Amino acid sequence: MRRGALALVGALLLGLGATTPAAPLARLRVCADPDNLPFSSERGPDRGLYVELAELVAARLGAPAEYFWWRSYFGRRTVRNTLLSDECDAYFGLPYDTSFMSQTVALTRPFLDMGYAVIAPRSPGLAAVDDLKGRRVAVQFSSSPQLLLSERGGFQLVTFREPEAALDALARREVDAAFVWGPVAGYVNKQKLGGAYQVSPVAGPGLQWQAAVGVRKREESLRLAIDAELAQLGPDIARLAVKYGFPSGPTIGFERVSRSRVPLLAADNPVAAAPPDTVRAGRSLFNQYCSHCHAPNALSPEPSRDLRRLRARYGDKMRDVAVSTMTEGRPTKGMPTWGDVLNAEAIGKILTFLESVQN
Amino acid sequence: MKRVTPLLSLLCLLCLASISAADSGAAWGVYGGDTANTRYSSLDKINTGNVQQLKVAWALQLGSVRSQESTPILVGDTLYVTSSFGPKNVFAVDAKTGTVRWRYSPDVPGGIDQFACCDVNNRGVAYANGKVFVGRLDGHMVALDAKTGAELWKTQVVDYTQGSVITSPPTIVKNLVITGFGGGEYGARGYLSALDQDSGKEVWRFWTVPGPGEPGNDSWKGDSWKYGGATAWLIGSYDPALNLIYYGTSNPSPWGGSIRGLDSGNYGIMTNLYSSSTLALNADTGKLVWHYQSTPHDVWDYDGVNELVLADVTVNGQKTPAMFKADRNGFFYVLNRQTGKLISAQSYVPINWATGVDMTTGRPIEVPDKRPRFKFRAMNICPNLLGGKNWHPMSYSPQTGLVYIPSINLCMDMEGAEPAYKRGSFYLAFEFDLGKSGPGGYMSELMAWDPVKQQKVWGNKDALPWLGGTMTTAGGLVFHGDVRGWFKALDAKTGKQLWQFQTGSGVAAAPMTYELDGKQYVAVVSGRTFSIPVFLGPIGKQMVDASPEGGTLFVFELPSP
Repeated sequence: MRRGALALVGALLLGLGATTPAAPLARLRVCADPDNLPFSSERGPDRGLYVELAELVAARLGAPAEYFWWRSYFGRRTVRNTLLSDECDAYFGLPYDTSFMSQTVALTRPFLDMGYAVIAPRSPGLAAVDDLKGRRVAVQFSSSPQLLLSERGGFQLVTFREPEAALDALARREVDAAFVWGPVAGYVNKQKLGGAYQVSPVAGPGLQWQAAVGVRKREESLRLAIDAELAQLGPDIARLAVKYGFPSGPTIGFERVSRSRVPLLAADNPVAAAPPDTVRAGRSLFNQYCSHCHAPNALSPEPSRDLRRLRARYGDKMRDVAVSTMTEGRPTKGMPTWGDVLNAEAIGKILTFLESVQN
Repeated sequence: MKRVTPLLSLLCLLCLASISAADSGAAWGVYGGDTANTRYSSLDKINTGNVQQLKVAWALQLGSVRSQESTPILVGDTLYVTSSFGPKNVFAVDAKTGTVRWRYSPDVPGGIDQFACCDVNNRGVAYANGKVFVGRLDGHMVALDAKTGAELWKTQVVDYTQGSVITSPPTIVKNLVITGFGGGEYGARGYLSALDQDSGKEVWRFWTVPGPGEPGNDSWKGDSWKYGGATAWLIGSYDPALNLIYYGTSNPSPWGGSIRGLDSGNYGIMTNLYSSSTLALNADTGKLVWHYQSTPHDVWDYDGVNELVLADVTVNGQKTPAMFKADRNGFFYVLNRQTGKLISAQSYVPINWATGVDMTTGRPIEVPDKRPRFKFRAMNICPNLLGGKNWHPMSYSPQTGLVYIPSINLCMDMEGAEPAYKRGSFYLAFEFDLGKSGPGGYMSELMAWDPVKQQKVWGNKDALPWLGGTMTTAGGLVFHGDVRGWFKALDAKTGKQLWQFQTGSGVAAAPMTYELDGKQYVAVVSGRTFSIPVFLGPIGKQMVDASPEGGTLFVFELPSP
């Protein structure tokens, strides 16, 4: 019974003559947390970005969205209890990462960047995470910021089980800033705190991610159908991100950096000239800042993101293109601007590493 | 290691190999056979001479088919047994016929399994003064009328939605019922809670992670003590003469060592007390009398929860109250249970993360490159996080002087790097590859261990992990199960297999035995682990293939003459 809808989608995509994904899909069953704004809510009035997006996708597929409400906790288990138990067909908001449940779950293209952010009073303004050294910084238990700030040292961490509690502490001035999941910080700032705070996404390992829609691995036709709709929904997703207060400000790094332009290296053959240490350092930086989109060690299975093809694609212009892309970003293609985060030396090292892995 | 061996030899020259167990005998009124957790029975009607004739007397379907870990207890002529998943069912059964006298089936909240760190287990009940006490996954302790199964009271011990669940039977002391809970992975701060048996009201609580101003709070970096783990999720022991209760505690949390301390084998004072430790508390007050931390500043998930088996051992010619612990970290510890002083420690499985235990400090001598860190992948660490032994109980026979350990021989790679997802947010979790068989190619070994000489006497190696808990009897027998569903009887002196029965599903739970009207019975619960294979890759596949899931209590007897 539950398989019925999917069988119809499959038939549709296998080419029974339909050119638009319309009537045949009876319904789109979506798993969602009943109480997890800004992502989803059963009660409303805000229904959450994932629910509104699911509505848009379902409408374009010509099928009503139905919801299986399930209080999520740990992701893998939630996915097993819902999507993999056939309680729903699509799970919005899984980390777009090839190693996430890859045996059982297939992911669509990423539809939204999201990550951790520092939320702090607008004045005096924050240019780098290190500006918070010596201050009280709220973090969530077992989150990437808790780990990274502990590794870095010099911060007074105040730990909370949930990000909402960290933001409550910020509002009560019990902490000077909170370094928590950006969408939650942005939403609470907008809804509860009157937008009084600055919310700055932070670049670093394990901090910036992309969200995708997950389906059961074998249901490739449904994955493709949703994927095709997501490709068309960019402007709507951007509108929803604004509506729910997702952080959009400039990304900050841990250290203050100079804004000098990256000098182009003159060496004709920088690979041969580069000492192995530089390649190693570049790879390390790459894995910190670039790998969540371009795969660890640049081994991306997705051709459009495979940076081992830079030389093949751009030939002699490879370095110029790479430097300007890194420095200025390609906002329309989801490539962030790194010029404020990585200095010239760091970008140079990453380039040296990339030179060493060209096909 | 160099420092351990001479001391150990000296110790064993001076001591005669005489050990006497605490109370144990024909009754099996508590999970571990007695409050010393010896799992030894003085019954000998079933023995090495006739065990070959053992046959099924009756069986009971438990009504759930997943990860059974329960040991029944006998009160009068009633057997009390639980199923997994909540428990989904608690049964009171006529111990002779298997006729169900009552069944208690609590409403377990939907989706509870995602809050249980490791599986939806239940290990059984405790009994006192006409009441049966059951700890539930939803964080509640309930008292049932032993005659009717009616719920007399229900007390919330902990909020399960924070990832804290109760899976083990409580410890009974005088008018108290004492329980811990699990959740070391999910940011609980552990405690033991003593409830009044009549009212269910809390009498005392002991936090296993000291708060500000308490001794040991400075063993945590910053405010990491707030969610420090150290939960006491397994079985307690009780020594009535000393009036001390003993519990082991879990790993500290979260995983990243830098959050809790110096993230190094040179941890200084930041040992994260009282995680991965053995605790001795005054049973009346819950006050800490002594503690011994087996894995300071743990990053391997070497819980220190394994059961403490209480027995007396002769040290330097003096009878000494001792306790044995086959720790997850791979060392077999003998401690003075009155003082907490370390008597001896020796690795009982292949280990490589430490070379031995420093007898002066009582601490492991670490091998630095086996301590995983953020962005440092430690390779081929033995044992893996399932430990040299997991929750499956060992047993101790005063007849042979040996401890029967269901040991594990697996290794792992570990580092902090994996993407994970929690309620809408993504983060880096620690990543591990547990699916590596240990040195020698075998994955488990049922071993007889001499706790005085600290050496193996015999061992039966197995190609698959997850051997069942053990029981030993005055009949010269050791009973245990395996993941293929075999339930076996061995000669306690030699390890030779004398009998086996195919239960149809993996057996991890430990058996028990009882006598009624002059007849001895042996009981064991069958039902293969569900969640452990998930962690083990191809090895896990072999475990899944070894037997289907199940949930059955089997009771065996000798044929009538």
